[in-house]
Amino acid sequence: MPQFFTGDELGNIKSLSYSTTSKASAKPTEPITLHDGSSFGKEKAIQALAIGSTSAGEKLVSAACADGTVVLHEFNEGKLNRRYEWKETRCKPGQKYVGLAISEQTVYSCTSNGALQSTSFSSLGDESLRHETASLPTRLCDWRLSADGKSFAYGGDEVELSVWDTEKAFVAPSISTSPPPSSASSKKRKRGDELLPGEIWRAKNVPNDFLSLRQPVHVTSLTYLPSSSSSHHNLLAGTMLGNVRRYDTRAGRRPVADWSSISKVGGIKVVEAGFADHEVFVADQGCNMYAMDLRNGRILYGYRGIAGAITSIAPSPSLMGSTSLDRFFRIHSTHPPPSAPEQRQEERGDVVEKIYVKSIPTVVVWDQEPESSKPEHDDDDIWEGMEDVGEESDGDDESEQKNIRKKNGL
Amino acid sequence: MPPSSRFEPASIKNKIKRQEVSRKNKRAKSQSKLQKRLAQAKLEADDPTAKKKRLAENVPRTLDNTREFDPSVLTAQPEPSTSTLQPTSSSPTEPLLEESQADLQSDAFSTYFSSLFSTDPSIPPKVLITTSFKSSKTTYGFCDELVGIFPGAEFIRRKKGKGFEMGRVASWAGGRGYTNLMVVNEDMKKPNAITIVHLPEGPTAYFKLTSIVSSHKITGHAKQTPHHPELVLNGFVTRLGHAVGRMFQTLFPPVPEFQGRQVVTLHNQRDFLFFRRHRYAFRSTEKVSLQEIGPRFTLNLRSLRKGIPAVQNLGKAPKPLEFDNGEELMEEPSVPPGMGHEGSDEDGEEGGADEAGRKKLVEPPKQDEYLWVWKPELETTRRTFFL
Repeated sequence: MPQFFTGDELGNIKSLSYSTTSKASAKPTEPITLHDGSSFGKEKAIQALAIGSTSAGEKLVSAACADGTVVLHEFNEGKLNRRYEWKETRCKPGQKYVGLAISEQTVYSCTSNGALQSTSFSSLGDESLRHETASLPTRLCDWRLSADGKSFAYGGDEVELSVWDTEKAFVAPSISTSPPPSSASSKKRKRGDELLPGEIWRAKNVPNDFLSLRQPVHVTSLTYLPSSSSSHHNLLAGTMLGNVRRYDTRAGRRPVADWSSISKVGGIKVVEAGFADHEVFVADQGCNMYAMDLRNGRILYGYRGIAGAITSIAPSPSLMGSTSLDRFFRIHSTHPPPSAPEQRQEERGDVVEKIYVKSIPTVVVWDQEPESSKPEHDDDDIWEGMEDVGEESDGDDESEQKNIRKKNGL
Repeated sequence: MPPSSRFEPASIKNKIKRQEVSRKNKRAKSQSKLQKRLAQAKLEADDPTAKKKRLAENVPRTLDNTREFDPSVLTAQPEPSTSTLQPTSSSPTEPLLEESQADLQSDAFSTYFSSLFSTDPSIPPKVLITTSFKSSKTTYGFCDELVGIFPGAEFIRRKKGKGFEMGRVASWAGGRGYTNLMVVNEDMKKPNAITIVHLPEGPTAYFKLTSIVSSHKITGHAKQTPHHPELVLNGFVTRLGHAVGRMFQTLFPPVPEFQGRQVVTLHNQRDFLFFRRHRYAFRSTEKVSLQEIGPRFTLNLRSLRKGIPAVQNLGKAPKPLEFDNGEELMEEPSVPPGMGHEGSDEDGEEGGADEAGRKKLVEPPKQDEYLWVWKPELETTRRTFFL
């Protein structure tokens, strides 16, 4: 019974929980409004949501609003208690939040003009907040913190995918902000293409095409793949031209795999790593969402009946939630990719339920509560649970194939 | 017993006899039906309540009144669907209406509607009508008729060559205070689609355009006058339908001129929007008659995009990495160089009326974001409607 939190354009935060057992009763899942911001109209629209928990076990929900404020709530017994609220002064009108993450007692937020901020508190009762700022390049489209919180990655319009060390990014803000005559410094950088202070790795543009034309750089969405560790990072990026690229920081600066024309309408809008092995979800600017196999870049299956562009995808070990611009929150079933890449995928995922949420939802996150609903969130638990699912279904696959063979008389 | 009731006509081998029997059967059946109707008419002439009761009970089932339930239907009692499908209880609809109300009030058209209170209502909203590239005579003829429909409309020929993409034209038009841009697309030398862009920030609706009948083809059509028409929007019930209806509201002046007695109707039936324009005349205190002015056409929504149409300029020189350190870096020129010149070309036709009333240009996005796209798979049944 996964629970999802959605933020929408009116500034509401809603929680939706879907119980797999109540399918028989056929009662639709009702969204519960945890935070009502509709009185402000669109100026408080929620652009990013993040979920985390403190070491003391308190569950935190953080929301970044369109007017530059970030609110940190404590989620307790089905209610959101507002704990902290601060404003990012560098977030100007026309810019938006591209990333928000909670790692232990620190909230990271990043806007599209590169204003990165980390806000930390020692404990929830504590009044004082410690703000640290760093500045990243402008025109960002997506920003992600890695699972261990030690690095983050971003990409954007003419901004190559880049991985930074979280600590070093905040240690030397004076250096990174020091080149105000940015034209001169950028030229130098262009010449040398050298890393910025704090930057670990930066991707390099793919080679020119067969007409020897430069490929424009526009990373619209990126995600860390579960195979990345603290020493090396595996990243997946979607581009405006509809390519999905897989990067490995050990294997150089060019993508290790570049799959073109994944999207049908426009470019890639969202990429998200799934919980099964080699499973990623990709949505395009039209109204298509696919599950993709990471080993060969092939589309495993697509979801049907989506009428608007997907704004956000939130996988969970059992089900997946997605929000789209047609004002629906959808719950999808997923099927892990076949055990060998060349095998055919027989089962496909489906839209289990769609819920009308009355205003355009912008972001959805899974509450990271393991299925056994342990109070403390631990990544290892999730990974273990995930492997179990993979093994079971692998077994299913094999047995089914046996059945098929029997049917064919082999 | 007559042979007709003893034998099924199909079992009679002789063709002449079979036809005869069949004819007799048919006649007897229609006669009995007629007698029944006459008896019913007689009964109802004496007792008018019986007729009322019969009409209330005998409602035919149509695709329209058995439409699939759509959770975004905003009216608490959607006229066609409540009686058969969804017994909506009053308690859950209340918060729905409240939040949906807030959603409607903060949508893309809300700034236009709120600005109406501060402006003169007699000034019609400016609508720019243009065609796709390389249009032909029929399309220009249709555009002329469109200009007649919308009081604030103005037709400008689409310029040839690169740099006049829809998104860019929309951006300039938004800077010049137009509220809407209409682009008539043609295929096989006939208009086949209309794109309506609400300015300055979208949304963009793309309609399939069919069944065009121009005014002069309508027999007994009335002459059009330049009065502001009244607008009737029929049957827009869902949230998507409201968005489309509100978009058409922004095309017409908010206050009609009643002495013109012109009505523009957009009737939505099974997602087809039927456009009609009439003049009404009061023949007596009870009777009113309609005379069609024309043109007629039918629209069908195919997609709704969030912003103005996207412009992909892939050959553009790449920008270097920039850092947002201070205020001065963010101050981008409101009119990019080169755009002003091309804009003034267009200005020559309109006479350069409002140099002062220029707003900041809204940059066309690089990617379209689809709020809604029609796909065949969405129509799971014939009773699924979206508007």
